[in-house]
Amino acid sequence: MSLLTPEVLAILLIDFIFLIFSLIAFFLSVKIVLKWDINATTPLQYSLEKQSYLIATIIKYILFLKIPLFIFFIFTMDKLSNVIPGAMCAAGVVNATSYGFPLLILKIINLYLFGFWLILHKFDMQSPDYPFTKTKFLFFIFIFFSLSAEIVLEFLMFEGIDPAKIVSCCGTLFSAAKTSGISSLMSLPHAPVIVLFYLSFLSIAVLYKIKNDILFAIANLWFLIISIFSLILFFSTYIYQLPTHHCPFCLLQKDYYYIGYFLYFFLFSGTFWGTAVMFSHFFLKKRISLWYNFSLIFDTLYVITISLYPIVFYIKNGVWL
Amino acid sequence: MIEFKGVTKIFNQKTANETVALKDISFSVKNGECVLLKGPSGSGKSTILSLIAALSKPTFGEVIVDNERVSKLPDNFAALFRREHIGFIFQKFNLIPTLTVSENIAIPLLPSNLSKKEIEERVKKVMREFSIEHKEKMEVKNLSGGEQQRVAIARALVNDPDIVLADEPTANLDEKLSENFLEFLKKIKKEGKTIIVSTHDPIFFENPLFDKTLEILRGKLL
Amino acid sequence: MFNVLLFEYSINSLKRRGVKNLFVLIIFSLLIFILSSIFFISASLREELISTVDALPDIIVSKIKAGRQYDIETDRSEEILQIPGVEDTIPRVWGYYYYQKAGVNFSVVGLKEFENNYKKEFDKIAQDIDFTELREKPSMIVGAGVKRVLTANYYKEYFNFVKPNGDFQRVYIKGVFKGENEFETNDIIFLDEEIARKIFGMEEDKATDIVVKVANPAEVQTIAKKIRLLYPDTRVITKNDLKVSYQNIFDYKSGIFLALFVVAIFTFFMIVYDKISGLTSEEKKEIGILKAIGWRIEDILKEKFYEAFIISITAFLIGVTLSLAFVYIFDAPLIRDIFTGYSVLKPPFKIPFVFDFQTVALIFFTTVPVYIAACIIPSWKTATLEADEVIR
Repeated sequence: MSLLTPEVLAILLIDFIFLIFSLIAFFLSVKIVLKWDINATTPLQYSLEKQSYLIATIIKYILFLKIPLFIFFIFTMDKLSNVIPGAMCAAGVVNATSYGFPLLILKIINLYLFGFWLILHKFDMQSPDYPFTKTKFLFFIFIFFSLSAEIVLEFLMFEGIDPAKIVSCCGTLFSAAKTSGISSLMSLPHAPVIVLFYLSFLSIAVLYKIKNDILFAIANLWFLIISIFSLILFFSTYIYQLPTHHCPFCLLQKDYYYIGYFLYFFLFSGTFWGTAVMFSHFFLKKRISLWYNFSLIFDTLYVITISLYPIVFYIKNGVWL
Repeated sequence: MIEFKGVTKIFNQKTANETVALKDISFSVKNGECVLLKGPSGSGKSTILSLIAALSKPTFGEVIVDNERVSKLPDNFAALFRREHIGFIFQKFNLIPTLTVSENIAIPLLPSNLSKKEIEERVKKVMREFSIEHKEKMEVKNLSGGEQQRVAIARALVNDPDIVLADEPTANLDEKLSENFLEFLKKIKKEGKTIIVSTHDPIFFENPLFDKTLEILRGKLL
Repeated sequence: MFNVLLFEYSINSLKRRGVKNLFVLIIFSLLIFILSSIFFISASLREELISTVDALPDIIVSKIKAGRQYDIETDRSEEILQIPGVEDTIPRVWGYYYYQKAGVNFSVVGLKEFENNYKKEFDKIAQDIDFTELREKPSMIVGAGVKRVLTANYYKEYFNFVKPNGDFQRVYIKGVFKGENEFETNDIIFLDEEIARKIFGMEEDKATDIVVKVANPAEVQTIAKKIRLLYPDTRVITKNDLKVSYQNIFDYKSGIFLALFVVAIFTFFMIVYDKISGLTSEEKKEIGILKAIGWRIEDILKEKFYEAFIISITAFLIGVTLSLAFVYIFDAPLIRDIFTGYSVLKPPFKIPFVFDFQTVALIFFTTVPVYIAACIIPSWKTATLEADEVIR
């Protein structure tokens, strides 16, 4: 591997730890899913109960480490752009291999999945008959495969980046000029996308009032997708004040006051709690209004912050880009 | 109310050291009753107390406390049950020798979400009740036997339990201190607590304090 | 979720088993100290070197034959000057002179009188020199390190260079030079270009390499390409190439250390696992008591986690702080030579202070999570001890 910078090594080291421990958790989970019987008073059941604590501890360890690690990962990708010719920001590095983009998406999905697992775990522990134990460990078995896929992709990506090969910078990646999947999306007209964005937020606000769990969750998922989309297509140009700069990574840099971190934090937090609402619906059969509130607050913060950019620009300059 | 229904406890089942500690025990204790659990050492008295406190689970049968099937509670609920309802005074006190008096007494309350101030108040109250406030900051290992006993009692009562269990409480005490202990029992009985004392010390036998006596020999109730 | 009281209990608990925990703390701090020092030094030196690179020429053209560098024809610089976008071309005469007796290499740089030298600093030196004097009585200005070596070998006023044909070239020592960047200029000898040619046995119409100045930095790559097409027998290196290769060297060296460190950290993992697993009967009894009076498994796990957290963060802070002092106050004796080379002529320079949050994050991720991972299984085993058996 020609790209063995210390940062990459650190990430792979932690990946290795995750792999080993999640493997342990995996085997224990399989055991539990097969043999768990809360009503049994056998030594086997008692030892399974003890082991379920080990799995929960391992999962908490992984999740709480994954969050700062993800930020570090983004930092590292940004730093790598200095050694890879052509890349000016993380976007170039992510696209240096075919693994980069799916890896990024998978990382975000896994953060959500781990979060959901912890919620399920919390519910499970709330009543003495541990009603969701089998379900939650079955869920973990699924998560294990997703996590393993992420680690494999990560290794493949770092292995495959060739510092001698020139990559495209975000300017070309996100322009309508080239012929790629992203580019065809770039040539969509802005107005309908913006309308969809605000409409989706409106639907969240309305569903908040009505308190329909399933629809609220779906609305949040849709909101996540349309937000990222509208961010790349439209809003980012106002952050950079350049009609051709669409990159979703550059806004993490110092030049833009690290606004990207805030925006993504709001967006991911809001949509996480919004989708979590579905869990309380199915498993607890009750509504947790606190999550509704979290979701709405963070979603609103995102919408306000992102909208400020074009609005302020218009006020200052009198025209749109 | 405490109920034992057909409880059997076997240790080290299916090994060479298999021991049957209790054999098909059934009894009940009403709220506020003071019960004497009488029998020679090794007869199973400590096991009964352990089962009431949900510290261990029966091999067969059920233990029910206040309509809660305590024998079926998984660990975190069992511990919570103990924290809220049980005050256990151990035979060997089981204090943490390198901690101070107030620290030892506070331990049961630490994981709960009480504020520091609340815990301090409760600890002070119970220290005053048992006259060990003046030794608050002293390490427990430097206390006399009687003082340690008072700390053990204080710790058992700091969470205001409705059931107090005492396992051979006078085994390591002289006559005077044993009498003090009886005084203490009288006091908490007045407060309406359910009390179970397991002992083979004769000063407890025929004492009017006790509403009921359960005699146990080799794991069976007589 | 965060319980202050349990946290205090953890601190207390750590103190009560002082010896064992102190042992782990010291070893961990030491490991972090070494790792941090390596990373801090490399980050600083990299910054220093990158700022040096900025002052380097945009493009350097050297002639390559059979994979080795040869003298390049000076009239090529005229042709290169014709390429649009090229501001200036300067043929340079310089090289290394190996002084066998002392076993050191001097960097010999030939200066021109009227034309500009590729570095402003050199221009300044050139201005101060009277070249006519230098030609009549060949003289040179040397860096402090050179002066030291020459004096040590009894060359006080002049030095005899051995030319390729075996003859001597006596050059008088006019003065000692102290540059802005000590690291660079310590082993340099400046003299007139013609004398340099004589010492290296280089012909009049040849030079060591040609330096190209480009007006617009965005055009450097294109011009470099054109030069390569123009002269296929040359190696054309741009400033950016240098930057990248410096970064890679540092990453490579840091990478090696990190690899070694990873080995060390796994050993450490084993030690920690073992230490924390081994509970004395007193410790087991304590856990039993806690559970008997109402602590749940989660509570014990939380308390154990606080203990692990306290030790690892404390070790981290100690290691990083000591390392900062070691590197930036005491200039990191011993370790820094690994990066800067062991050459006798390297001056005692001060490592510039560079505090990079990412470096600290890097140190954190390679250490603290490993420690906490080592504590997971032992803590769980402790928390799931049967209280009943322990307190009888």
